[in-house]
Amino acid sequence: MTLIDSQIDFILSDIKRRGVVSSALQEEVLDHICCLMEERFPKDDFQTAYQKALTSLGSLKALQHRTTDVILSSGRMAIFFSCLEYCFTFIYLILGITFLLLPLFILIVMSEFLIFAVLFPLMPFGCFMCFTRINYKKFQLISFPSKVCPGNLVFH
Amino acid sequence: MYGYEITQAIKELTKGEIEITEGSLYPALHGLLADKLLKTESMHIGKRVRKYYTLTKEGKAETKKKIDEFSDFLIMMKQLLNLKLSAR
Repeated sequence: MTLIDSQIDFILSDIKRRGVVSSALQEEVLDHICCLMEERFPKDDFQTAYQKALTSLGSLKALQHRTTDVILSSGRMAIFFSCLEYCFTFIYLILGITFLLLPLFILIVMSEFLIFAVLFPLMPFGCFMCFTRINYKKFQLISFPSKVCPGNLVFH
Repeated sequence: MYGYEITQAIKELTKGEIEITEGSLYPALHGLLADKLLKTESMHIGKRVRKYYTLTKEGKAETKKKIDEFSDFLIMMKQLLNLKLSAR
C-alpha cells in the first residue's frame, strides 16, 4: 500500500481529533501509523489498515498525556516547575502563618488601642486626683467639699 | 533511527521477546530529548516528516553509565541467586 496525500491529510486530522495536540508528536505518530499501514497491513484497504494501526497504537490521548508528563518532569521544565512549586509553597506558608497570627496580632493591636485610647487618657486624671487629694506634707487625704461628697465623709 | 525503526530493531534483536509499545516509546524518546541526551534530524517524505534520533555526547556517556550499572546489577543478582545466565 502506498498512501496518497489526501489519506495522509485524513490521518493527520484524525490524530489531532483523537487528542494529540503537540505538533512534534503529531508528526511522529503520523509517520508511525503510515509505516504500520505500509509494512504490516499492505494488502488491506485504507480504512481497515488504518483501524488496525490505531488499535495497535492504543489511546492517542493517553499517549499525549504520558508524553506531556514526561517532558514536564524532565530537564529545564522540571527545574522550572519545581521552583514554581517551591514559590507557591512559600507563599501558602506565609499566608498560613499570617492567618494564624492575625487574631493574636489583632488582640495585641486592640490591647494597644485600649491602652492608648482608654487607659492613657485616664492617667492625667489619676495624676490630678492623686496630687490634689493627698497632702504630701502631712500624708493626709484631702476630702472633697460636702457638696461633692453627699455623705459628709471626711478623710483625715 | 526513527520511532518505528526502533520498535522493529528491538523486536528483531530480541527475537520478538521484547516489544516496545508506541505508548511507552514516544514518551521515553521525548523525555530523553528534553534531557538533551538525544537529538533529532527531520527528513521530509512527501507530506510526512520523519524524525531520526541520535545520541548526543552526553547521551553516549549516560548510555555507558547505564550499561555499566545494569552489568553490575546482573553480576550482583547472579551472585545472590546463584544464577547461571546463558544466551539463547
